[in-house]
Amino acid sequence: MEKKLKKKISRRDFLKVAGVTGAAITLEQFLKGPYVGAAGKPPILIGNVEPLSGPYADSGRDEFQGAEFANNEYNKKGGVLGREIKMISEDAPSNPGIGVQKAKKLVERDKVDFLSGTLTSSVTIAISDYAWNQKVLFMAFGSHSDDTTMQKSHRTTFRTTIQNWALSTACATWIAKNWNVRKIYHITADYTWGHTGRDSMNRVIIKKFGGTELGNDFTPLGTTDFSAQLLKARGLKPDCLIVNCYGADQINCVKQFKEFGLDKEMKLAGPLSGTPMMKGIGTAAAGAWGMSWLGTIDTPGSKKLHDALMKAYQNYSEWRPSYRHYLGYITHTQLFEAIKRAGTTDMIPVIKALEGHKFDGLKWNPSYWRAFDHQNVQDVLVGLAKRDENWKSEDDYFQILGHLKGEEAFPTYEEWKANGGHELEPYDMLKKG
Amino acid sequence: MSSLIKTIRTNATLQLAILSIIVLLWPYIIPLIGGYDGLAIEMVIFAIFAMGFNILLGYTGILSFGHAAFFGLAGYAMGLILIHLKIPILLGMLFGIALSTVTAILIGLLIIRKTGIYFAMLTIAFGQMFFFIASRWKSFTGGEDGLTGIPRDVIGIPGLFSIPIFEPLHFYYFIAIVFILAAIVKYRLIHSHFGQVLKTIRENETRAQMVGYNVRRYKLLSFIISSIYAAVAGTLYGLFLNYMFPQTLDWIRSGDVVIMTLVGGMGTFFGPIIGAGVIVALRVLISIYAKIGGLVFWQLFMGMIFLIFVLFFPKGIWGFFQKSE
Amino acid sequence: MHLNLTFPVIITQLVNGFALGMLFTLMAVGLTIIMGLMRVINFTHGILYTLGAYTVITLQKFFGFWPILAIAPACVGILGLAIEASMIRPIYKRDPLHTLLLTFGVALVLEDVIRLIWGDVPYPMTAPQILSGVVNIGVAYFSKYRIFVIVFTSVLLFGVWYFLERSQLGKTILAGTFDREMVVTLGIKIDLLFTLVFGIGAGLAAIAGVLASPIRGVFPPMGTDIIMPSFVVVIIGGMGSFWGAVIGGLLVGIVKSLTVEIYSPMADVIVFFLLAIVLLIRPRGISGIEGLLE
Repeated sequence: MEKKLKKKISRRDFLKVAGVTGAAITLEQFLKGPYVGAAGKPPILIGNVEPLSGPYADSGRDEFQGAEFANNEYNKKGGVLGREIKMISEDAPSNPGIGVQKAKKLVERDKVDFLSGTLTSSVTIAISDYAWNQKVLFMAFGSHSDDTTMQKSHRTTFRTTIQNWALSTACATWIAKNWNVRKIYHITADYTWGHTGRDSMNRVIIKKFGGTELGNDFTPLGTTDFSAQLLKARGLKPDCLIVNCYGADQINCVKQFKEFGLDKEMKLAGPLSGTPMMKGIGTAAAGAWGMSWLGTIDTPGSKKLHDALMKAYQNYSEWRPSYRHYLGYITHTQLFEAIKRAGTTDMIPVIKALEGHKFDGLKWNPSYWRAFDHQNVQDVLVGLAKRDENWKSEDDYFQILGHLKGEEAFPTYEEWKANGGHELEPYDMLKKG
Repeated sequence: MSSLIKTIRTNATLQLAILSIIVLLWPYIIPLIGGYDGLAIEMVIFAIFAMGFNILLGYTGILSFGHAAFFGLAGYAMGLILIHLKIPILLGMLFGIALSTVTAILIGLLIIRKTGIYFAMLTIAFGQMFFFIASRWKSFTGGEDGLTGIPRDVIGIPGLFSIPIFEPLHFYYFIAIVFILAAIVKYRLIHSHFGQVLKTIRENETRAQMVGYNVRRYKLLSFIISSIYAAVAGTLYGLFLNYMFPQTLDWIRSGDVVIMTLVGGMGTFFGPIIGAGVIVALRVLISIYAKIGGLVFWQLFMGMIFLIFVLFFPKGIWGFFQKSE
Repeated sequence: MHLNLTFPVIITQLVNGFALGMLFTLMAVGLTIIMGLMRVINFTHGILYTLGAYTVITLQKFFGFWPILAIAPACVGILGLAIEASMIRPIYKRDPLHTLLLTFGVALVLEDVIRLIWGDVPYPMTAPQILSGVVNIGVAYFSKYRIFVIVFTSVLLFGVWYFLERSQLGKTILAGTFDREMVVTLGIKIDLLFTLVFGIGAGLAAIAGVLASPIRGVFPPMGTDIIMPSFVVVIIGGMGSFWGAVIGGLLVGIVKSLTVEIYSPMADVIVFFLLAIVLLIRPRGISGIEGLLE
């Protein structure tokens, strides 16, 4: 009898707790309500999707911070068109299905005015397609994949990151001119990013400079052991080994490159690298790599941003502003400027305000988003990874070797069309419904 | 009041009716707890998946860690045919479900002889094979980038009727109908002779064999039926996202449906449905609130909730409220 | 597809496969004994491996690489004992499905704990100077470190074998994988035995993590790469069998490395393919016990 009573009570208690929790959640949602900014105007809502968990979490967080920094800067000056900037951040680790679901939540439930962010190519393309379906403006600033502004381009997507084509072109041009590289061997990650990197490298070194590809190995994503490929490369004696890999793959490949003593026999280069990779590679750092931005660029604009970011996020001791911060900052800043120029947050005028507008990208030449593909044309850097006795601090992972002007690095309209460029949809398709 | 509850407890039709009403009203209930149409859709899709999976795990007592393969295979098959041929969506769905079911039959015939851990590992093996095929065969499946552009405009039979399902709310009601039908089918199955035999097999396979049942055939049927549910859910998921990607096939996704079934309540009718809803909602909630220093730690919280269930509430939510059948 | 396999490439891949296989074996030996004796399907093995690697990162500056080879397994082994005693032991009586799910949940939680403590960024880990570089035997090059892995693991495995076959405790453990009831009736405290075995398995996994770290780098989900192949090795080798784990490990390691060379997209699939074939033809594995867990 007592047992029965006890069980009944615990069930009732459980229901009580559940009821209170439910009420609390409901109350919270109710209180959250629609925001009201300065002068009673509703805020401008930006939905930011980044990987905040998983292997790219640090990069995702950097992008978020760059965007957040821009938002704060504008809010301090009274917002944009008198409206406060409010950013809702969602986590989408590299799984693209989750990315789309988060985008759906932001658009359908939170009713954001713009989408921004993403990192991996697959998430970017998935969200780009979704944004086009929903007729929402998407500022993509994390993915380097050529697809995003070529085969899978949309009138509703703008991309800030330097596309693969340009990164490879800049890197290949530099190594061909300065290291006299003519014979190359590729290790290529077996997905779109890797493939397009190799194609672009070949386009420059073979077609433009008359070099040869001695060989190529495709490695599946997640390969940890490159010894076979590296030893094959050694046998063929190229001038330079090209590593078309990113992330952990790049780390392992470069480390093993050093482990096998190949750094004494040939050069190393690749389309893209960054601080997270070099942190992982440690003292085996080597190679010339394409990149978008470094905190050590000596233009006044870059220095200012670097110092301001250091100050704003100074509680991270081993941290330095990365190019992901730069991308987030530039993208949001220019979005706000475009909104101001357009005088509204309506999509079509903002798109027109963005297209072709030249602005200071904090590098040497001005940057702008091209009208025909919505790719941001900007200076492309080439950096040398170094980790020698002179390495002083976290700022010191790369030495800037040089840069290539945007117009020389990015594909021309003809090249874009020939390589699957998908014409952007006409403006009148942008009207919803 | 208690007599009303008693009536509900014993009357199956009433239970199903209440469930149907809740499901039909769900898009209006869910915003009250911070949800939205997309969340509701996802909950119902996984409820269908978990419901069918429970037939295998909860009622027959067989653990499969590879059912996501049937989920994903159906989604991909439907997606590919809808993208390349302009056929009605229903036909595409049927194609996806059929392909996935045929695969399940073939695999089932091959592996049903094995039991326990061996069976589970075989399901993982096949599941992973499909996963790697989906992620590496870029030219066909889109590889890691996934399959974009799955259309979702209308459901209909040309010449007969045509219902638009582009809007989330309309799509939800289409799914809700599918769900209710699936629930009714499952209910009839479980409470039929077939269901009884499954439970007998779960309790003591040898005894079931001795009584004269062709245990292997029943297990195989259970496997196939649960895979059909997975396939249906998979096609709906592909339509929901207009997109299909490899991670829908891997063993971790298969693990998800095991978690949903356990947390909801194995071997109960309503358990997996609740489990699916809870886990889907938790996923979303956790990734919003489980932020520490700007990074999300959803695995930490999800894992802990899961551990609490395994250790203290192994009967799951529904099992906590009533004895398993 | 690369069909022009040259002799040096084959040899190099064989050595790599051997080294990789040894890591699988280290993992599989622990897993197989835990599965055979305790009927526990231990999904935490991957995260214990990862923790071993992270111990190196943290303690390397204090102790250097060599002592870590002993310290890491000790630390992780103790953690293993704690996990077993606190979470797994209470639920032995239940359906093995529950222990599987429990270890799965623990692995999820611990992975995020690792992220919390050490962050997401992969850590660089280089082998000590004396082991880096290559050995040139004229016809092919071998990584010195991988040779070290092979030698060290062989010695370690010999030690484990000796313990299992020759010591009283080891023989009891082996007996238990054949017939648990008999061991209990002999009056041996089965609970403590289980805890010890789990701890040993954890220690072996940790060593595998330490050894793997210079090759594969250190990052939170590193365990997921190795846990699946390790389970495959256990099944191929036969549950509860030490030699099965050894032979199975080498087999899987070599097959994988050669496949990477011949047709790399298949490298992941081939492991599961092997598993399926073994399970369909000879489910007990190479030298497993018939009917175990069947």
